[in-house]
Amino acid sequence: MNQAHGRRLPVAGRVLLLIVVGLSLVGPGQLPADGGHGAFTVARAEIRRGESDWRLDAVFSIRLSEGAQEALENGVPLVLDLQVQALEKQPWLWDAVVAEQKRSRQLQFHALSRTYLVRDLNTGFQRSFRYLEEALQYAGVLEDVSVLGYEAMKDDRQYAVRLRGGLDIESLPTPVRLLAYVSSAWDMDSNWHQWRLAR
Amino acid sequence: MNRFGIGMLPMLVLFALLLVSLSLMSDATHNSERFGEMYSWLLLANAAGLVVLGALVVANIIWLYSQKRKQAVGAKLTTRLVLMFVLMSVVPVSVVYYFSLQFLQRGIDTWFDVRIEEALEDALELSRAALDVRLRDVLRLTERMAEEVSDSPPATLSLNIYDIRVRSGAAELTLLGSDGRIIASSAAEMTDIVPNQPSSEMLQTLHDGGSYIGLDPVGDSGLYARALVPVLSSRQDSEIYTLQALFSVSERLSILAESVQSAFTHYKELAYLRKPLKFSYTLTLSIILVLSVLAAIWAAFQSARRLVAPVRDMAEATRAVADGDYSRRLPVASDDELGFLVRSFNDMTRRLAKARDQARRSRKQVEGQRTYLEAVLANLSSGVMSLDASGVVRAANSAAKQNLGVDIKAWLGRPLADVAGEHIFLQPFIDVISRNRSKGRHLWQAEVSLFGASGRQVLMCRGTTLTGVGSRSGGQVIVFDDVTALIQAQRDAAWGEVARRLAHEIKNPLTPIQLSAERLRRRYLDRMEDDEFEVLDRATRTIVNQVAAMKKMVNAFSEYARVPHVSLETLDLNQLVREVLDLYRGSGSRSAIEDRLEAQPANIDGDAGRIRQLLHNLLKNALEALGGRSDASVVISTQAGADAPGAYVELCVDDNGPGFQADELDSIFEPYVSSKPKGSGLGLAIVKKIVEEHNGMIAAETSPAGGARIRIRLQASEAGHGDAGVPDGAFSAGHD
Repeated sequence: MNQAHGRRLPVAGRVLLLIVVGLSLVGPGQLPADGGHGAFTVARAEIRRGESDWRLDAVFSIRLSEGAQEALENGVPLVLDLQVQALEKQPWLWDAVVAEQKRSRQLQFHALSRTYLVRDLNTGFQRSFRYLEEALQYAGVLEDVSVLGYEAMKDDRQYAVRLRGGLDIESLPTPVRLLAYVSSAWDMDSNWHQWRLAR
Repeated sequence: MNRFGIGMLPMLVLFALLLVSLSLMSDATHNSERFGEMYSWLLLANAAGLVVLGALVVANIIWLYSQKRKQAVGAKLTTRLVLMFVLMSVVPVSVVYYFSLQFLQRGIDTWFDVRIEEALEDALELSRAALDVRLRDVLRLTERMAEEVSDSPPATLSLNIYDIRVRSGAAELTLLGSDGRIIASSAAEMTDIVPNQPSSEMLQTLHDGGSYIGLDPVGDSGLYARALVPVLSSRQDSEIYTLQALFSVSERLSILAESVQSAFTHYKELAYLRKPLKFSYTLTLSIILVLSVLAAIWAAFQSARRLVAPVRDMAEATRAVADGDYSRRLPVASDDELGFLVRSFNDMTRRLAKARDQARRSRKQVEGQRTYLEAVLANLSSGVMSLDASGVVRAANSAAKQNLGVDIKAWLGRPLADVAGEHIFLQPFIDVISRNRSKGRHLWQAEVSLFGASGRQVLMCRGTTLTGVGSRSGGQVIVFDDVTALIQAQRDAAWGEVARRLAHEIKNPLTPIQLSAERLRRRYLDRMEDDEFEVLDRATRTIVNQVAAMKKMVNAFSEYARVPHVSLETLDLNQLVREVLDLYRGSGSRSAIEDRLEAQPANIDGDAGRIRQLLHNLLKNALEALGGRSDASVVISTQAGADAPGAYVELCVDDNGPGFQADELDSIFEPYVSSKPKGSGLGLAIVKKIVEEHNGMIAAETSPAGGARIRIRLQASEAGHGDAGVPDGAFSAGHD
């Protein structure tokens, strides 16, 4: 079950943009070469009962595409979003999102110190790493995230939790944004990973 | 607001929206904070505008194609205008687009300079070099601090750490276990409860037996030098600790270094964004171009349609006018030349309609007058004929045919002179007209005598020259009346008057003359000598005889002039004929009188005495004409009307005598017209009078046997037959 990212353009919008870019190719402009494919994959995830709510621990394995990596090394900050949603199953309708958590981490290369800085945009906490892998590993960790309070759950309903991660294209500089939308090299979003919540 | 304004409004709104959207997008392309976030949506909005405009253009092209296929009015003009508008807009826009792109590509490239890039890299390297001195100092200091820490007893470790930090001026000093756990820590900022932990990679460097020194931007606090050195413990536990020290770089150096770093990063980012930026600008420009071109094409369609609309309307209206529909009015859409044209057109159609209505009314009036005139002419007993200036027959009424005995209408459009070729008896009539025409008399009157199939005919002609305008000018209208019957009646009346006067004036002195002669005779005859006796006897006898003859003649005149008292009754003509014939047969006449009477009774309404006199006169006339010939033969016959059976009865008396001369035929029924040496000359005149008293008709002709034939038609009795009168059309006189 996939759903579009909140801040991203809908599918129709992407198709339109693709048409626009296609039209613009008639002119002298050209697309920068696509890089290697990047990916967000859920390496490990665990849902456990807390005292008053369900809690999630998860680790994403993040691999930047070459395009994203090039942008990063050229000083463009990347925002990585980790998104958790609690769904209430509805018999005839789409599932309703009853709770949502999002962790956004900004990844940036610091040229002077030759380090990668990861700043948690929710907390403002920042750490530096000498190597990109280390920074990505740090950025892909969700620890003890509150998913859904027990009191919000109804007895006669089924609930599920889903999880995904991806690059926030809208935070990219404007000129890159269009490429990121239409180029598959920038598409690093993971699919939704979903678990049913046991009673 | 007029139609033009209303039609333009959505177009202007769409253009304004697109312009705003494009300007916002252009702003957003510059990475402005205001619209940067909206860039994608703006792009989407413009793309949607592009699709809408494209759809509009495609719809318009399809519409125009269908119009051209249908060969609709104005389609060609619309196509030409659209092509012209499109060409006029696309060419300059494309030129501007091309040069804009060139400027764009080159302009963006000129932002970047290899020397600046190298200078920035050098500046960064310089910053690093400057910081490296500080880092090496920090490393040495940290190594010394590690030695101090290694000597510290575990109980006072935290306190010593604090002391060392304070003494060394470090921002943070932390002792970590071999597994990375924090054993003791001290920080200058009391708010930093959680020490800044090294990454696993840094710790891994120590595990490999070395130390770590590096710059570390910590949050917003600026640059820090991070040093990690192993603490070689002298204690029994062989665990290798790690001492991490964070030293802040001097504020000035930090600011300068950050400034260099920031500039370098920004430049690097810009350099990296060069291609996407070019692409983005190109895309924006291309969208503007395509939107402009599409908008121009659409506007071209709209403008062309609006321009052509009045022309098309006018073309359709002109076609309608050509088809005779003058009611078409066009809406005046503008005050320009087209509006003037439309107003003029409306004026023209209005006037045309008015003129047509007037012409229609006039035509109706003329037709009415013509119908009236035709009705009048048709009911006139006078013949009317019109000739044009060259003598060609232009019109004739029905009475013309009756009066002339020739269907003049069959000669319409042909010269009147040609009529004489076929109907020679009309020559005098045509001559009179020609003569008066050649004399140029505007008003003339003449009496013409014709000798046609129905005998002598007298026409009273009056001619008037037409003074009108146009083709009829110089023509003539000829009115003619058949006055034959009138003249005849006048002549008859004159004769009647003569007879009456003769009877009155002459009869009175005759008796005294006769008595005087007889007295002379009685008194003097016996006294006379033989020779005188003879003279007186002959003279008085002559007087007496002549007086008797004169009396007889006067009586005949008296009879002719007598006003008849006809008492009509139904009688059988055949029976009457037989009775009269019996008298003649009984008298021992030498002439053979043959009767060919019909077996059916021929009933007529007549006065038996007058009819009997009629028969006597006819038989006497015939017998006298035969003059005692040995082969004399008189045939008397009756028959019912051939062309209208039952309507009349025809009585014919034929003889085999000398017949009539041609010039006698017209006057044979007048008093004292006789071809015979004997006779009073009143016999046939009285016959005619009796026939007329009975509303009949009489004709004298030459019989097939060569003699004379008197033919009489009398109206059949209504009791026996229907009322149809005596048809005169079948009656003719003349030689066969």
